[in-house]
Amino acid sequence: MPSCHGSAPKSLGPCDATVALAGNPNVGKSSLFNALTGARALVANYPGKTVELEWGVIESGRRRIGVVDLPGAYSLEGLTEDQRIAAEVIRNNEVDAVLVVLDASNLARNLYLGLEVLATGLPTAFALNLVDQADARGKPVDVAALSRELGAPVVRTAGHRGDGAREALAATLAAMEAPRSPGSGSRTEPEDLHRRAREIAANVTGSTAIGATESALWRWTTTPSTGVALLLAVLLGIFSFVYFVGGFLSTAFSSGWSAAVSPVLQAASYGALGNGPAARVLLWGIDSGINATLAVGIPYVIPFYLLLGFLEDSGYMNAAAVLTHRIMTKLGLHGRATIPLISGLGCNVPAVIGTRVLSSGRERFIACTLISMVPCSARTAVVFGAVGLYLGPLPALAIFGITLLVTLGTGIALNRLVPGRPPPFLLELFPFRWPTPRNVAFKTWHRTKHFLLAAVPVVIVGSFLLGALYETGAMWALTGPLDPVVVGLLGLPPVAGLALVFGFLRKELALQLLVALAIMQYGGSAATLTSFLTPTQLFTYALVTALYVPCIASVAAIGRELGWRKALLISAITVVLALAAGALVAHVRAFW
Amino acid sequence: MPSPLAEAPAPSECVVVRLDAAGGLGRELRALGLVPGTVVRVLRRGRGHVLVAIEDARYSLGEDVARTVVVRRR
Repeated sequence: MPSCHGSAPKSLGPCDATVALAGNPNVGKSSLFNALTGARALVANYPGKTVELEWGVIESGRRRIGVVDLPGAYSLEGLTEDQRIAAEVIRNNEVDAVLVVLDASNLARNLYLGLEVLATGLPTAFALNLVDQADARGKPVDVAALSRELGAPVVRTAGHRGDGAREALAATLAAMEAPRSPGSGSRTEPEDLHRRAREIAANVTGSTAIGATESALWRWTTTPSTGVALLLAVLLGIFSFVYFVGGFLSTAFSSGWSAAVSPVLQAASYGALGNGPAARVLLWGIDSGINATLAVGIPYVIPFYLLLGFLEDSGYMNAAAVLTHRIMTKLGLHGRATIPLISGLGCNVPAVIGTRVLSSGRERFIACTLISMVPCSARTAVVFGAVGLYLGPLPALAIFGITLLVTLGTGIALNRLVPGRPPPFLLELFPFRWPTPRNVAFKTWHRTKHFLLAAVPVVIVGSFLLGALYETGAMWALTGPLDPVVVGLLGLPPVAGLALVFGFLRKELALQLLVALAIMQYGGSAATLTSFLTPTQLFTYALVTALYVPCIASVAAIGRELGWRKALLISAITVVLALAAGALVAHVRAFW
Repeated sequence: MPSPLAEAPAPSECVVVRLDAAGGLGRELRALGLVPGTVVRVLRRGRGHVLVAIEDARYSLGEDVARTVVVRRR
């Protein structure tokens, strides 16, 4: 069997043809993709490109068809990196055929992209989605007439239920068999293309009913007087849900691992390698490393992704972006950056990947810098475990408050310092819809899988490294060189410096590491943090931990997305800010 | 009298006369249908942005973006 057409990832296995799903944002394209490929879809790098796209394989008759879900775009002239990739795949004929998904309730604009795709000459079929909404608006679409006008097959689909998905794919494959049209080749002016799209839409809906109006829900969500309160309530809801559900899952996963897997791994390691440092380093990596992702990353990421998927599908995210865009513009960002920034509260790694929805390199750099300062679940655990537990909830809130101020200040400063301008603001307001549980579940599953692949290996490698440095005692060599900064600037004991530096490998260990090192230094009496740290020192330590470089996994993610130079620069910025904030707190408190 | 969309009252109905945005923004606006002859309905003016409808879709355009779209009242 021949391998997939030129551009499909190798991990997909052999297939006979590749089909791209294209369409405007929010037209139910991904629901159709999920209906076609089920949960087996895999996220893969497009060969030679940095953007990951979702691929799936479908058995159709005796053929294996590779299907790729392209990022939603309004045209083949996309503004963001995501959309440019979608355009390239189609313009360069990197697939064998295209299935264009159309929103029947907004036909004219959707047809613009459809006509652009047709003009490339690629075999094309159309899936007419959201038909019920068009019917409800009194603009039913005549499918046969639409097919005649376009000169291509059109199939009615209901993406949220998966109805018609297989038929639409079959029509696309059939289009490949039909004699190939040459494609117009030459570019049509946007004015003419829009005129043609509107003409077709008018002909097949037979209605000139007036279009969109503003609903009360939009007014409430995007007007500051009501919208801000609603946004704060949503954020508080996210935070509590993630905190409680995550905490529950964390305990469940971690105690399950400790009870069932850890003893086996320990017995095997000590059995094979003896009771020496080699066995302990191995256990750092495979036992405590995996346990860490079960206790800190995964349990908080899953409930967060559930809510994120729900909010995205509901249409609320864009309303929130409209509301926040004035603040975001001051930070050099588009309102759209709100979404990745908020998702940093779960874990910085997917948040960094989420900056692909932003259009310029400048914006992505600023967003990744700010995301690096958003307290993820690991750092939140440190703040609660150190400050919340020993000093009380108000000082813990103060840490989050200071972090927020530093993050906002950094955004304002970067917007002035980094050459360029904030991106122009332009956003579609989607109709509010009830998300379907099926689609939200799919999204959560795909994202969690993505998170596992991106973060877990790095955390395990970091654990090995940390274990090796700890067990061999190599980390103590850094005590002397760090003293001027740690003792002089931050007023912390020397062991705290080591815990800070090596906490980079596993941020959530910043506390346990500190206690473990303190016991080695001062003896067993150092088992509680307050026995060797004053409240000011504890506060300073937690604040610095919250602000400097999130962790090795997030730096790796930034490196992959923006390049290593920017990853290093962002790390340096956060270290300087953390030290400055820490020093300020240490010295201001000393005055009191 | 043609004037920027940013100054159009809400609610009102306008026709696009000219698009002054160049580059990526220009391409994006044209893709959304902001080309000469298109009817734009101004639904609401918010702080720093204006909410418009083109056919069956609604968009929020930042003040700076709305300044690049020159329209005539209908």
